[in-house]
Amino acid sequence: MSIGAFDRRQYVLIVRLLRTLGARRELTSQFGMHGPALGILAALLVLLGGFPALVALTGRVTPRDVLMLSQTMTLVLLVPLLIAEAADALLNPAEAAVLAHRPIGNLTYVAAKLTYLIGFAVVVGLALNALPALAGLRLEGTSRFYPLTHLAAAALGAAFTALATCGALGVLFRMVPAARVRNAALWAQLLGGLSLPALPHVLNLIDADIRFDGPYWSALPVSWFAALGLAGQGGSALFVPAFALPGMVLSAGLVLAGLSVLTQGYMIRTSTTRRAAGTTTSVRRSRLAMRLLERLTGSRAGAGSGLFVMKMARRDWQVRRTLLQAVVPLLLVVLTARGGLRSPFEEDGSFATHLLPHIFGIAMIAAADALAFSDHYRARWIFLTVPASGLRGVVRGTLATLWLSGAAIPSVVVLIVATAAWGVEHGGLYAAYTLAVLSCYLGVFGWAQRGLPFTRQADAKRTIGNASVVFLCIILGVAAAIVQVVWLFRDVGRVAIASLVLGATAVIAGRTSLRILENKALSLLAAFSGRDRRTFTVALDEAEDDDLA
Amino acid sequence: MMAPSPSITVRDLRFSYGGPDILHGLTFDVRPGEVTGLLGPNGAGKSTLLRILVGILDASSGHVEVQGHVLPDGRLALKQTIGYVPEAAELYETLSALEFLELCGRLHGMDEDLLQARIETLLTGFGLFEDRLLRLGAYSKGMRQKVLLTAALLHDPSMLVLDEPLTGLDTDSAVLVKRLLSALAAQGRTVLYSSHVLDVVERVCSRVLILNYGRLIADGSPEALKSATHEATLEDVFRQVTQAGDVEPRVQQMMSCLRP
Repeated sequence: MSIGAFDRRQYVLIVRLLRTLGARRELTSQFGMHGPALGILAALLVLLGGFPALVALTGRVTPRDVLMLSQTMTLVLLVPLLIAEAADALLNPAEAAVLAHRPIGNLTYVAAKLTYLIGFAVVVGLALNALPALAGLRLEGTSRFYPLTHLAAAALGAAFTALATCGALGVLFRMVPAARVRNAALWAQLLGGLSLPALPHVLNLIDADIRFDGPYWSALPVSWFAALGLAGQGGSALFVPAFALPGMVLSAGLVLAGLSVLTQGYMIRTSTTRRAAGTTTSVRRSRLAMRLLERLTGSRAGAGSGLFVMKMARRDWQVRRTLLQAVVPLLLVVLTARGGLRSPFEEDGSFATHLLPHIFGIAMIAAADALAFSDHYRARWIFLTVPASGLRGVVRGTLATLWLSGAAIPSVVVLIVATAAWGVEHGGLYAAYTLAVLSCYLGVFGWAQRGLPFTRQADAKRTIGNASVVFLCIILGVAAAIVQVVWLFRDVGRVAIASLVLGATAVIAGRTSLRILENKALSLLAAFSGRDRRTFTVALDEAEDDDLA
Repeated sequence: MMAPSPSITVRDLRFSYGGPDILHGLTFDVRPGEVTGLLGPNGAGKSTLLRILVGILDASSGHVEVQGHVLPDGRLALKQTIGYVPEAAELYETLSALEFLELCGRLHGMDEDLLQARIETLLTGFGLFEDRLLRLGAYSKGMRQKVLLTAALLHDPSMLVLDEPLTGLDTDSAVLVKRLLSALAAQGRTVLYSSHVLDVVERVCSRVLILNYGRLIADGSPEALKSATHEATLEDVFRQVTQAGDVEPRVQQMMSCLRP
């Protein structure tokens, strides 16, 4: 396969092209391509960096502790951001199709993309480390240059993380079909996250003696960059070459192997991703869902729309990503909570059981919030041809699908499991309460959908908005769960009454949400029926650099 | 006089997207200086074949040599010498036509003065020069197709591979493109042209390849094919060799499910 030599002129052209496309909001699903979204993200990260900064200000820690904490936070936050960003940037078939038949070497193209991703990672790393770097001045043994070495270490650590993430994507590119790489990356990230709570149990099992200052930590990249941040400062770095070198060799191997895969036939495989993707569907399951949705919405249009939403939500990468990233970690926290899922009606019932209905509710709201944003938004013209009654059906079908998939089906599962575990009375009541809570979530938040389903281009700013909504729901959920523990579930009668009240509230709020959405539908359509005929008087690059011409 | 050596040589070409084969052992040559039409029903593998010939897809097996470059190894050098109009008009919507064409020309390493002069001439020819600063997202289907045709011609390729190039073009533009293709072939360039508009193919192409289910089922000049099949038009030839059934029963069946 032809890798193609690196062409500096083409590299500069593509980097500038990406910058221009970003400035004009062509690729809004990527933070790095969306200035305002990146600005908001950076501001949030600066605030988040307040935590290690506060730790530093206590004065009870060493510079190494602060650096390790900051580097670890950077890594943990950067990896999920980068996986999403790199998957969108590197595996964009439409974008690759524009350039696939141009004489661009894979190496040149991948290098341009890496430049963009590394730039994004460095912005994230610097934002997150800004406050800890300044706070480090208060630590014993740091010089006045400490912020510079701290930030340099943060930037290098972030750049390394970007390279490692792209390397890992490259390895996945070799192992799974191109059309499934984004999914595989998402699952790899989630499984990585899922393995963290299991780690203490594993260490207990093998009876490992893990110390915070153990030399084995030197094998991890965070230690290398923390050591770099301590250059010229007082305090000892945790850097034991015997452990660090194997880690470095392994990391370099992963990065090089992954990047070398990416530069082999990369554009071909990416540009054919869509063609290679296959789909299948179960006709029998569709018919059953259609009948259920027709009952719920009272119209064929509603049922058809609901089924469409159901199928698209399973296949659309943007929706799937939002849903899985919001729900799986939360669900895991609940399922691995101490005490397991004991009956909430018992004196020592676990908090996790109380939280479970709210976790499902948060999942549903995250899905509802993400539904409008899709990779397939260009097919939205279909809604322009739908009569008004059909549009009402689309709105009803969407809400009905959300209720069916997000409230009814989880409640049935809860009913089966809880009845088997806690008996009919407690299980049935808990399931009824779960259904009422979930319906209430949908009723109260359902109106806030930001468009007809799958009609808007994925938008990085939306990711922040979605995270805010999820965060708000988590606060509400935890508060509600506390009320459940201290008062509600002390009495079966209270739970029954609460279920009825919540159910009634859900019906009223749901109808209001439906009305708001129905009224909004036409204006949502008008928003994308107009054409933007903006002209650009400035060419892609006002003047090509003389040295490149 | 000796015939010029083929600019496209395909031997036992097979291809699949991971499932069953899309192309089944294709073998043919295309010589420079002629417009070769590539015909076939939907799903016959025409676009896939063209994408292999321009180096966007790799053949599963077989020998493919285009413009002296053996694929897939020589694809980068090949892309310098060909102009390709893809089936789907993927464009950067927020760029203007001028910006997009400048990008294409610069990626081919064109001299800046020559690039600007060619853009002006070609866009003027297509009647788009006045709209060159308009973003591509605001272009009509036909206008986008003209931009793709311009981008394919910009670097003066010695071979043109066109996948449904007349899609969306108005009559005047279609006539212009047809004349242009004939003129380019007359200069000794290779033109490979895929289309479903058979009367245009009949008029423009000196040779026709017909694919069906990934197999080459006919190869010859339109006249030779008509003569061999005793048919009056290329459309009749096409229907005969692809064993297309009578459409009338299907029309009746479709009408029966609609309101009388």
